[in-house]
Amino acid sequence: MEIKPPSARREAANVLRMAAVILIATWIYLANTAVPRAGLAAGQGLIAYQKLFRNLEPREQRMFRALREGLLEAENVRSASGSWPAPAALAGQGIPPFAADPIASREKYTWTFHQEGPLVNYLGLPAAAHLPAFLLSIQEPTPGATPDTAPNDEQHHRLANGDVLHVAVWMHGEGAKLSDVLYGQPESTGWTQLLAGSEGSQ
Amino acid sequence: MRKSLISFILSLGLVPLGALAAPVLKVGVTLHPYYSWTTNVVGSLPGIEVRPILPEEIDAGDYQPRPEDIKKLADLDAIVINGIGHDDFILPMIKASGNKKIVIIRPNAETPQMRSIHGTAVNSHTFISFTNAIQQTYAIEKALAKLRPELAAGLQKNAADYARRLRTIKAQAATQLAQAKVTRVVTVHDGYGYLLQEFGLEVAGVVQPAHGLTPSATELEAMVKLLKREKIKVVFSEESFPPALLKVLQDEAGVKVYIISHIASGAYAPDKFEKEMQKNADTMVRALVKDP
Repeated sequence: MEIKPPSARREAANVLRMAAVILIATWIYLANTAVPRAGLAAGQGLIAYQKLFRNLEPREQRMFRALREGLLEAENVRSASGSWPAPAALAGQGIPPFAADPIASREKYTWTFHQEGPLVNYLGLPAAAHLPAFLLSIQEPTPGATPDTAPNDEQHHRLANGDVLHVAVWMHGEGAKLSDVLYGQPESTGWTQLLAGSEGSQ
Repeated sequence: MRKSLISFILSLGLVPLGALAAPVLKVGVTLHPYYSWTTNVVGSLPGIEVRPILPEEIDAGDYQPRPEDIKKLADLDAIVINGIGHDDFILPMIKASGNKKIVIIRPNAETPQMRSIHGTAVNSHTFISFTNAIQQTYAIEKALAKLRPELAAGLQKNAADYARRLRTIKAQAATQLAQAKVTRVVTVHDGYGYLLQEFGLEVAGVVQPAHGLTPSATELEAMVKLLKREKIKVVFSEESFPPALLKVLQDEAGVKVYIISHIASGAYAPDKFEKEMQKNADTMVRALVKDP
């Protein structure tokens, strides 16, 4: 039986092979851990027309927050009276974003209300061409439909009478080009749905 | 006299008879703002007790669970928690209390959350904000109405009244802050982002490297450089930040320091949030409109 003498070249090749294995294993580990986090931060799991609050510009975040506040107050009126308040009525009570905003006085919006059957829109069109438009879309239950059992969350709001509304906030980058009409399917006309995507919901 | 008063209230239809007969609903809260919001939602409605869990003098950030506080959780029907990093101690405490029927009310569940300036976590200080306070007050109101449907109308009215008062404070401040001569500031604490955004103000940097951590000498030096480079003249600090470190910022960068409360300690009171937020609004007006 022949015993070969130790080879420096073979030893070096083995060391290099092991180093390559370690490098590949490290790369696979990092790819499996770091990439999903980055993906979540960027809004992994969103549909192409959706965007998370945390990825918006500060000015857009501010409007989104104001719209969520305005929505709650509009829902209160809807619960109490059975009909949706006009933007002017909400503005008269100082409710954002319908009321005049001294902080963003150069970013004026005209708010209009549209309703067709179960579809409700509060549409904010900007005076300046460079500003985005915003839309609060609400879908009421279809009369006679089976009661919606969805739990309350960002997109499902339950009124005092138990009716479940489907609600969403939208933004459109070319606000000045838009018509003042009801948008039944905003995603098909270039609108981006904005989501709070909050943590701590369970 | 008392009997006739109750009869009078019932005759107005403000309080259903069922509400008087039901056992008291015990609702805990972890943070000071939640105490203010919940007590204002409840108002004078009967049959709901609001109970703070933490000792009043301790900031939740410094809190260590104590057996006597765990006892306060044992008979609760519900508890209002932050749930996104400000009161991580509470769920293990509830587990330790053995209370399995407790309903967890998470007012942050639908609140839009900003990122922390440092790191990737969300900014858990959603409560230092008028807009969030209104939204979260309604979230608490809806959760309580689910537990006490017979009081729903009264709870809704109280929440709306409270929202109106908060909105008045905010609107008055906004009218003045629209004239701000300074719109970019540095804050010591990462908790003021929500509040400043409501008034169109920008946070150029945060002194604390993480919530509650004191900056190192190197970090402080970097902050001085940022203040000089960006020509920042106003720093908003929390009450408990070391004065010696603030003096470095004042001496080296020539900034003025103003204190903003993050409503984290002191006596629990229904009007605490309104009072401290009014004070915060006044401080911002002084710092950004009157003093510059």
